[in-house]
Amino acid sequence: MTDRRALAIAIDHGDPAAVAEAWRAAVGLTLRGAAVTVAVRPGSADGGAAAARAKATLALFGHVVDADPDRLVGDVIEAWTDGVDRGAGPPDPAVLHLVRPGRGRPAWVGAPGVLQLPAPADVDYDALLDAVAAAPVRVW
Amino acid sequence: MTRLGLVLATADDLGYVLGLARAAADRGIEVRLFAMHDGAAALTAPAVATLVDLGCEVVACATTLLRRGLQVPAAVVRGSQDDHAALCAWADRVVAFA
Repeated sequence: MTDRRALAIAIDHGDPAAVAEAWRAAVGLTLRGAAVTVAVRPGSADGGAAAARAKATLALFGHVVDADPDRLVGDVIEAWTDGVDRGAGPPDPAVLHLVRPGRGRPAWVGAPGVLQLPAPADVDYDALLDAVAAAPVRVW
Repeated sequence: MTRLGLVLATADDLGYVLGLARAAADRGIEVRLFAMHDGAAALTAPAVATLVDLGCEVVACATTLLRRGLQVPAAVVRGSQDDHAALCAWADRVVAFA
């Protein structure tokens, strides 16, 4: 690897176990030298002691642990979300937002960079691949 | 795009993973999957067989498997968060269902 990848984790979840897993993943993503950024949506669950340790470890090594969840940028964006609306802002048009059924917000329909996914069996995966190739992806 | 990374940490999104993997394989795009948390539990034997037949490397987080007492098909590599990081370093694009 010649360039340092930027990897982002968005935590927007009400399940403490999922939040703790997201923080564990964030630490894991540093293992190949990436710069990791984590953003937590207010109202998300507390991931407990393990999450707190992970956050402290990331901060100790210079990773960002308090980013804006609505403006996450990176080569890779992992969004740990349960689909509950906790007040997400408008979608960043620089990112492809894949919105699973029942998620997202009504105001996002038709917004730049937003692709509403139907049920898995009804997706045009060729078109989806084209969209994925064009921009970093965040799945809601 | 020649290398697609897929991350599965949810129980309900395996269908999207399979669809993306099939479409990518049809285009000659290499695919790797890392599964953890609820995604590791979602790895069914038929799905794993399909992914392997498509040439997709399937890695599951061994910590998740151990914590939950999960058994996964033999074709699934028992890996770690280092494999997660490696996938993100390797892929041109990553789609994470988390």
